[in-house]
Amino acid sequence: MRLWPWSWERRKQELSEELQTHLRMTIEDHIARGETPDQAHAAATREMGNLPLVADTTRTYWGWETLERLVQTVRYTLRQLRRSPGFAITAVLGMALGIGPVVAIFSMIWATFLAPLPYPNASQLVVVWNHYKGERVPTSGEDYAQLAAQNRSFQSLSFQSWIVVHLTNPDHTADEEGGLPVTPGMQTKTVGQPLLLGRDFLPDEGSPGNEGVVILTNWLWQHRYNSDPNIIGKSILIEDHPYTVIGVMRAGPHEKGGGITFNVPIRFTPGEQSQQIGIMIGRLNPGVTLAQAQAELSTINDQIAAHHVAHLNKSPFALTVEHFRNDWLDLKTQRNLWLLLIAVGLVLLIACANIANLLLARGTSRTQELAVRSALGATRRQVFMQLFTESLTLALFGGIIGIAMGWVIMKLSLVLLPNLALESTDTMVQMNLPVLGFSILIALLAGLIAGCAPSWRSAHINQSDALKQGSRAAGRRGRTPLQSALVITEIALSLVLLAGAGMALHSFWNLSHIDVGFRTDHVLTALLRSRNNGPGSKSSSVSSPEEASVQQHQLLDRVRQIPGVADATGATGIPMNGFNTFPFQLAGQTADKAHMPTADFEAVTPSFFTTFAIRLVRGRFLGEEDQPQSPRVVMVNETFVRRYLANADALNQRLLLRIPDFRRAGAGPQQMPPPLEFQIVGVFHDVLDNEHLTGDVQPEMYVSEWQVGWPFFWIAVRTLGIEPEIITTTLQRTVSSVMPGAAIDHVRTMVQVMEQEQSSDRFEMILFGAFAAAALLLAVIGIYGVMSFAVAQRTHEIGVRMALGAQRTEVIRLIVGSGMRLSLLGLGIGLAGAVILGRLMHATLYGVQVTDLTSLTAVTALLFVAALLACWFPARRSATIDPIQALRNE
Amino acid sequence: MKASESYRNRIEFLQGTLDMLILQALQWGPMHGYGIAQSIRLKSSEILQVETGSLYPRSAPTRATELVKSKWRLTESKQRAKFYETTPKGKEQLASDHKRWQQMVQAIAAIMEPGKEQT
Repeated sequence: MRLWPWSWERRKQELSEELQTHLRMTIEDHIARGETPDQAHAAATREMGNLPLVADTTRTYWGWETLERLVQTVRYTLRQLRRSPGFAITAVLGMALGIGPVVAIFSMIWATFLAPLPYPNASQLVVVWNHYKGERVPTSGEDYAQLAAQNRSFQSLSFQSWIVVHLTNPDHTADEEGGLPVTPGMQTKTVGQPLLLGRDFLPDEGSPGNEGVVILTNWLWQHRYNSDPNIIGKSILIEDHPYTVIGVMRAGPHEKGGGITFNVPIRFTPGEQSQQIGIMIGRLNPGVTLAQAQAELSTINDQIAAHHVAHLNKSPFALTVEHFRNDWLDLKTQRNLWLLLIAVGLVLLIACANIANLLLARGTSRTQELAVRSALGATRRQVFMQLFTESLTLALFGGIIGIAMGWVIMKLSLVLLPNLALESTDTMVQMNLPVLGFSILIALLAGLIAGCAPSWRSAHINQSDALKQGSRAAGRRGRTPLQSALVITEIALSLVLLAGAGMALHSFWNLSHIDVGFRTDHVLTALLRSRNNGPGSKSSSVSSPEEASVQQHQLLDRVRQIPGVADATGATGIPMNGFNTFPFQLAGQTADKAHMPTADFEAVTPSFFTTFAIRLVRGRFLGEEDQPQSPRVVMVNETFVRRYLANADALNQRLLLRIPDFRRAGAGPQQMPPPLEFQIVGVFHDVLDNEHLTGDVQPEMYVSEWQVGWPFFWIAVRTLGIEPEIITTTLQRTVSSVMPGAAIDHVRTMVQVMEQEQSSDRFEMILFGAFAAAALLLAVIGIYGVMSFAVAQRTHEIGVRMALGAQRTEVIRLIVGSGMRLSLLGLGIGLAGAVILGRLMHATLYGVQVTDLTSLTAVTALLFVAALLACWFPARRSATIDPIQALRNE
Repeated sequence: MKASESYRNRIEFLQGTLDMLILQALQWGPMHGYGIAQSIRLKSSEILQVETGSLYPRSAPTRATELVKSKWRLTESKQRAKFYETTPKGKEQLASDHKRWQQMVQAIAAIMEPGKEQT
């Protein structure tokens, strides 16, 4: 109870009342002994001594002094700050500007790396990734079945398919929802989340004929079925097949990843072939380490490989077992987050240096006040504590505004994140208790850093000097070494940040100037999928290949008739969507069966080249004249020519390709198709087929869709005069009218694809740029402040100089020179820091040297000019000092 | 600053002894601060003058809260005053302080007046 101030007050009153009673009793005693009231009063007072002092000493013994003084100091501080609002606002905003970015980035770091997962025994939860040549790739259902059956490390190993199935309604009018097949027990056993309603899949559900059950996410249940409490047992349509709802998940971050809103069962039997691919999520047995599990799975994996291919004793695929994490950001963005944390840390340090500078200047102008206080009996410790409390108070206010600012920065920067992550940001990144706690802690720490040195210095002022010389005492020195050091630090740190931003910008510039080999504007692409490709249904709506070809022609013709459409094409693959490796053989050369040359192989309609505006290097494009009956032709890209035809005339070459004939119904998959000759008729400029913007272009072979008759999956449309997104619904309607069993999916414009590819880099560039701008602003304010202050303090000296005949220009040169000496020193130190940062950032940048001279030069020049201006304005003011006025003021 | 230090020194000097005297004074019943001071003064034949500055820090509640408790009451002359009273723990403390004090006196006496000790 006695910690509360009102309780102190009461006790203080009691004590003084007690002392008064004591005094009265003493007086009464004296009167009783025959003294006059006056004499008695005098004697009693003499006996009792200094009453307030007694009270004071007593309170010290109570042990409240420290707390009481703290409250006093805080009150005093608030009064002081209210009296100089300019200083207070500058300091608080400066601090907020430093803390806000830290809060924003930390909230993302927390969500990504530090937040505990909301699952029971989350440390047992792992993801098993499959790797091929360093890239994460999916695992096949067959391999999963073997791994799940043979391992001893897992309590439960589940499989989540990557093949999305769709929830529809009978007339296909409502929005479709995507869902994923998972093995039974995934939610309740592996992830460990009990269902809200109903039950999990039973072990044999998911096998053929036993798969018509579905578990909904809480989100889907709420949004599509209005939280219907009687949903269990109802039938819904998935890929036009009836499924019975058997369960509803609890709400939470586990339920909705990547837009997935329901699960259907899937089941694998070891040794049976499967077309399924997906990822494995498992729960380890207690005590099993990641390394043990990984070793066991790798051994099984090698055995599987050896079983498939006799001469292999080691699988080309590598399995890794990793902790289940909030894997909502791609690796590059994750790495960028750490870099950004460094950046905001630097901004905070600059903000601290700025506050320290402000406090120093204020301390100097308050020399007299402090001297009076210490002359009146304040100890050094008390003066130090008072100044220290001031800086902590400022930091706390700055922290509170900073948190608000951080929230805004967080929301703004989340918009910049890659699309894939966008769906889960709201549940992932929040201003929760740990983030707030950390922010307050950081604010106090910043206050500590900013307040320490200035407070110490102010507390150690020689009071008699200060009192004698008045408020200018400390000003004689003009700028103190500590201030100089702070200015140098600010400049150096700002340069590091600016260099980071410069490099990020340079990298982004390079990235947006990559030659992808086609025009990205006004192109809409979509995946064509059959509606009934759900598990258990393999039927096709088209019976004969001729019919299919007619339908394809019809579709493209109808799409071309949509107003605003300039051209349309169908293809097995589109640019920037990945490549395949297809073996071929040059005609007239003997083939080494084990090491066949490979290239990306796609079948495209002739309009592909006009739709994507691909450039021709030699020969001719594929044309409508290339029909099934005419000689087979192929086009290759420049990389193909460079790699395989360096010493030959490409247009004289023929390629031998073994193309599976989809037109021949019932052709078994094992049957090796005969090699067919394709004449190279043209070479086109490299088109980026890699799904990574910075990835290599593969050798490519494009053949005519009309000659090979492959079913195409992709359609691309070039619009003229209208934005391509506009025709999405028309396209959808056209597709379902020509092909009743088909729907379009993955509808994106090429511009969106490009933006998605650049989003991680854009995120880094914009945030780095914004933080660097904040740093620049803070540094300029810092230099300006220190220079103005120095000029104000040296008014007298400047007055004397001018009275003795110094020219205005000389005065300006004097002031600017002293400021720029510090700036140049700061720039030098900053350059060293920038080189180090360059090394740290290098891996996330594209086409930027480790030491990027272009951006280093640019930002150094920028900061130099900024510093020059910040020195020049105070200097110009100093030159307008009237010597007479300056001297008279002394 | 100087004055407050001198008060403190005197208290340090009397460390333990004053606590014992106060507890001894309270042995016979509750008493207010003035009464405690008077009692010590009278019983020591006016040799020990307990100054207010020493008394209150010792008897004030927080520090000695386990040894004494206090209550506001009216005095015989109808004045409101804070009365102090020893707690059971205070009584124990008094007994052990008393014993220690006796040992101390004997020890000092043995040094100061060796002759007497031998007889």
